[in-house]
Amino acid sequence: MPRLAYITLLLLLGCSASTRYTLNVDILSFIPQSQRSLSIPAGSYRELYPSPQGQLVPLPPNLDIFERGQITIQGTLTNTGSIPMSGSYEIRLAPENDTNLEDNTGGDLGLARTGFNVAAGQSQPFLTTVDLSATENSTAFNILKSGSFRIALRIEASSGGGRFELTAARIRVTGRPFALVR
Amino acid sequence: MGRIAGTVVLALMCGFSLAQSVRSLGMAGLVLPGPEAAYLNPAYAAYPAGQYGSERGLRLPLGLLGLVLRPESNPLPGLSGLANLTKENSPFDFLTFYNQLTYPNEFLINPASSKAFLNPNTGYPEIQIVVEANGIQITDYRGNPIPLDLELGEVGVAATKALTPAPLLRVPFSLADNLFLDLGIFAGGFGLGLSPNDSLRQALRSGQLSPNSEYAAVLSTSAQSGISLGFGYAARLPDLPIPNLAPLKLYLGSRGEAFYGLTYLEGNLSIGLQTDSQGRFDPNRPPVYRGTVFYSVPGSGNGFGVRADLGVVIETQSATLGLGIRNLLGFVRWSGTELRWNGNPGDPVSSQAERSSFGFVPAIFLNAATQVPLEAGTLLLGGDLGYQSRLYGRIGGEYSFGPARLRAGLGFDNGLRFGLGAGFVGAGFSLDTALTTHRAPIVGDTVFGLALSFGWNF
Repeated sequence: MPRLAYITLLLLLGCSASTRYTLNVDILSFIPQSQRSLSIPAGSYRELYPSPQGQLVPLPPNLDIFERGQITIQGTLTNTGSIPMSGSYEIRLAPENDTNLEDNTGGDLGLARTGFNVAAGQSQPFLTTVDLSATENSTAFNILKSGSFRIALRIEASSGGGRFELTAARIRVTGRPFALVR
Repeated sequence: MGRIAGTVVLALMCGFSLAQSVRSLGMAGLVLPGPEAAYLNPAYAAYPAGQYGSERGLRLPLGLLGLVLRPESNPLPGLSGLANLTKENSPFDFLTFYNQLTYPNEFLINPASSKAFLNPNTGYPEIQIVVEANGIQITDYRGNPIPLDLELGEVGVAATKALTPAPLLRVPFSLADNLFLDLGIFAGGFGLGLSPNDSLRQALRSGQLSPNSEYAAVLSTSAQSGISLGFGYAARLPDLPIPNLAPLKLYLGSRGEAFYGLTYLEGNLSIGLQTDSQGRFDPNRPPVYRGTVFYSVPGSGNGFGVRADLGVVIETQSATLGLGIRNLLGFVRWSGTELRWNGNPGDPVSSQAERSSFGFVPAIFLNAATQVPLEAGTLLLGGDLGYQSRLYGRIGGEYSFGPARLRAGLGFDNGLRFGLGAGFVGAGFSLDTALTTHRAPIVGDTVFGLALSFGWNF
């Protein structure tokens, strides 16, 4: 990710030892418009969104300057069936070289598994925020610190049909660039 | 022997005074008529000294004091380990350091500080880089875009290569028959600039990337040094009679300068990234380097040049007006090494190269001053207007009352500037101080600086 390295260089000049840089990646913008909504068929359903390989998020490699991170997922669940829709969603995270985000091998892991229940014909918004740091979700935080990574959402539902729509997906990582110079 | 020492000290002072005196800074940089302005208008070599005061004085490098006195800009703890500067609780601020370092002759009262980006919720300065699939934005924590232009010194010697920078040291000798000689050492024209190219500037403003475009940061550098020898003629011509008025005094001067150049640097390098047809960066594509760096150093190149300057000064009973044209005709040639990057990956192509220019690339300097006697004290008013790569101009005044001097000025010279100054002329010495302003790098607010000079009068 040379562009980030070079913009960092540009900005180092406007920087003090306590300055923090926050990299705010809008993951949703990397996902094509047509794929931001997922149709949930009737019956028992399990899907990795947007794909089994997840969405690659580019980050500068191996910068040991990150202090914390945050993942935010926001959207709407709609039950178009006539029976209640129940299920759960989970954020899946993996290092760049692990292209199967569902098998729990090669580094992938799950975060913030959240259950839902949507009454027939109703819509329900959802919002999940996960904080990552050396003390909170540290394994996931280490994946972010190692450089580019993959992210996906695993959706499991049992319903008479519905829709899953994503309206925001962001990752924020905060670091202290002067920590580079030791 | 004492005379030689005196001449050397005087020459040193002249040299320093040419590098903008504190008196002049107090009037926003205004250059008044007098022999000190002979570099800009050779006719002033024949003009009586002291008519509009004197620019004598040694500028004290207060900036160095500012650099070490302020923990935010003091790099000294870094000598015993860089970690002393970069650890979490270190007060060191690169922006403050950079700002003070580039103003070595001024103590900056409120240097630029990255505290401008302080987020009160977290207690530390924050800068946000917002990355989207087809856009990037650099903002403060509130989301306001941060400009990324940095400039230091004069970038771009290219247009007027034969115009050597103002000498650091100039030793004038008066010869018989209105002839004069001056020897100078120059090292300057130093510039360093870093700025986004037009596409990147646009993208940072709008947060949107366009397809198949190159987004680049452009690094420009320039510097030169050498020895110059000037030979000139300046004389007072017969007075010009004006009916019903006092006759006009006329001064005319011409000067030829030859220089031998030791070092030269002229660089323009762009480092960029290209977007694909969908307006996205490909993380796997290497950065694109374009541009040239030309340098000449002793042993692998040198330079020489000649140029002609002309000037005229008209003095009425109450005012003085001068017009100087430097580089009326100039020739310069530098030989050295050129490194060229043409956008392909790999090392630059190195080749022997030359930079030369010949012709009429004048730098024009017009100034005027008048003295108004008041009931108590005297008021001196002056103005100048010049063109050298860009237009600049200043107006200012000095009020003298006994040994005290009060000065003020307003000008435009790469942005609006103003000056406020005060001086004291004692027996055998003079002390001058000035308050100046400039625009802070990156954060953009107004920075005030204090300059001080001390002069011996003999």
